[in-house]
Amino acid sequence: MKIKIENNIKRQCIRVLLALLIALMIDYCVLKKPDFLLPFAAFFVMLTTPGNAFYQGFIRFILLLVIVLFFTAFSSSISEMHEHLYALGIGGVLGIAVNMLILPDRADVIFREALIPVLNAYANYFRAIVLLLFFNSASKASKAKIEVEKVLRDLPVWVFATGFDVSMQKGHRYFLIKISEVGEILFAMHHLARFSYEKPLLLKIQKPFLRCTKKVETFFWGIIDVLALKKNPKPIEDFSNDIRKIEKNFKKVVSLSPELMDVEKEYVYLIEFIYTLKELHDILLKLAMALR
Amino acid sequence: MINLFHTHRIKKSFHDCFFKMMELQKILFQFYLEKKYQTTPALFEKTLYKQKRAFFRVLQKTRKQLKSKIEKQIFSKIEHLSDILFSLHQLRFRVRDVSLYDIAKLELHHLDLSLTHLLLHLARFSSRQTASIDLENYLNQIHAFEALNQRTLRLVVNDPMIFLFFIQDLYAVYDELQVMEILYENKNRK
Repeated sequence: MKIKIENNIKRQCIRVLLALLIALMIDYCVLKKPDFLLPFAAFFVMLTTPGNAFYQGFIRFILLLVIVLFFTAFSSSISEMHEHLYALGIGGVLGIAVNMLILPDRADVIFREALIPVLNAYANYFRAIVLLLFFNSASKASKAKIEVEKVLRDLPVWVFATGFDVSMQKGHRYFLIKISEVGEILFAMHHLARFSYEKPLLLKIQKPFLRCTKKVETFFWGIIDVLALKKNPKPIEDFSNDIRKIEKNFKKVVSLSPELMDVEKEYVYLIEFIYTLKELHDILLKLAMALR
Repeated sequence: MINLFHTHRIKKSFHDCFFKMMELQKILFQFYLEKKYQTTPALFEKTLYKQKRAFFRVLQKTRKQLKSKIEKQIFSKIEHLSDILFSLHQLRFRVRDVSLYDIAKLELHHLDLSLTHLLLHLARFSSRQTASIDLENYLNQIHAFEALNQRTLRLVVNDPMIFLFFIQDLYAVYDELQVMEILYENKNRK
């Protein structure tokens, strides 16, 4: 019978309690003299990040070994030192084995669940930035930014840890790098949206921009639905045509010299905003392709 | 007494904001100057994330402590400055050919030093009475980079707008720092 425990914290707690129970049983029933190092070692080597049970568990075991060797070398006899090392060895092996084999961390699930609030915050932030650009609503953008800052503090950066599951390493790291890049793009857009642009210039690009905004939001929600494993995720629409329309409308109002000499600050900022929107489009497309 | 405590606390918080921003911008510039970061993006992202996280933590802590109008204005400028830094360093995503960084290595290094010096100066002055920052050196470095762009970079890069954006954002940092200096002078007068 397969026992399904979805919550990752519950799985970790059950693993640790089981390891401690087995460790205590071995400690009192098998060893000549109970040694606190056995259950302690079992617990210590289990404190690893998701997808890194073996490597980090092994490093922790070596660290504990060095500390115990250092202290027992001066304070205990040779036989006591052997007993401590024996208990440490059993505890270490037990902890690593339980961590890897019994209700192991589902790194892929934890990773997906960690990114959903980030993408949600990004979608709201993008909308707020566009409202700032066209309607000067600075407070909404500030609030949305605060939310993004909060969620970015909890990114699953344990995928970058040495020893992270080799089968998931490349894909997960790539995805996280792109997610991080989206955050920086949005901060850049916020800076560019703060500038006071001429109303006639903004009016020329407003319609295609607002159309594009809806599609960008839908894109984010579509990716969120896929990460949340929804059966019918929201359909994603490519908004590259809307970006081309924005560029076309912009070029009707502004003409730049090929040498790019004496370009007005306002135009540079707006061109950069459109450029950044294209970069956002490219990254979202890459994220969607990575999830296929 | 409570006022004194708040003043001391807010000065410390502003100091931490500038200091963490300085560390963040240092890491961002390291991407152009260190080959190891260009060849292993995972290593760079891991290092960058630690700095971003520390910076956001300090921002959130400072935000809760703001009381007076001028404190909120200074903090708002700190937020603007951080957004400009992220906009500035979009360069690393836009330039496909990393050998371009070798051409601009000296100028980028000087820009890094100049910005680090300015932010460190602001961090120290946020906890003292006077605030005077030397922006001239930074402006000179921007002009040097602009000259390099006119001579070489815009001719070899795929899209010459890329470095134009970079230069524009360097000027944006300059403008924000000028406003910051005025705000600090007003704060210290009160």
